Amino acid sequence: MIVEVTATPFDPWQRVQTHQAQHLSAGRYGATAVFVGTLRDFNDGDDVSSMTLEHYPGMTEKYLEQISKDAAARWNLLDTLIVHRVGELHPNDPIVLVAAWSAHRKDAFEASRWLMEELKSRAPFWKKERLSEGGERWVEGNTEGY
Amino acid sequence: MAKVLYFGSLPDRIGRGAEDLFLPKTVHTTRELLRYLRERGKAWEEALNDEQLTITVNKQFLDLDHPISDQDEIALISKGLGR
Repeated sequence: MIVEVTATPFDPWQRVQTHQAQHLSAGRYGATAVFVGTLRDFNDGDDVSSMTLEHYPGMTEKYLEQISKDAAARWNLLDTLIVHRVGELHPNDPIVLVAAWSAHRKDAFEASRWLMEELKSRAPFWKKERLSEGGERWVEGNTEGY
Repeated sequence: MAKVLYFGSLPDRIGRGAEDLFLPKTVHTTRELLRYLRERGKAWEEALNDEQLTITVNKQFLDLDHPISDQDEIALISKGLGR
């Protein structure tokens, strides 16, 4: 179980491969569910040129670790990985990676979905959007996930 | 001294992101802390509305009636600021 909050841009697909090679035993896992959130260039009818993500150092990591432990208690998982960006992001930058490994697909699917929804609803991150037409705004409320 | 942190849109609205504070004798809970801070002026009164805030004490989400002391780190977070 790894949780990382980083101000450095990351390649989610590379992270999944690396994590899998370093932390999972080949042949033991039959399912890997991966969610990658990417910054859109639009929101609420406006063009977005960049976004700044802030977090509460120490608290955010602790919260992500807690939901990872909760997921491990609730589903039959082999491992989980959460990587989340902070700082200034631009459209098409990966924001978040959630991955779950299990023997069978049900656990990995359900756990990764649950982790992502928990992360979106309560994890202490805040975002300020910079609009293409100028100006900034704090973004209130989550987008409808589904 | 308690440490009070302000997150989300709060620093823009009240002009600071953190402060060290000796809690007044009238302040024993986060609800009382908010009441005390709101007396600092209009911007504080508007920004620190109970219903628009999430509170953490020592990095744990807690309700408004949780007791606090000068040893605590209290974070006031604009509710609903998600992604």
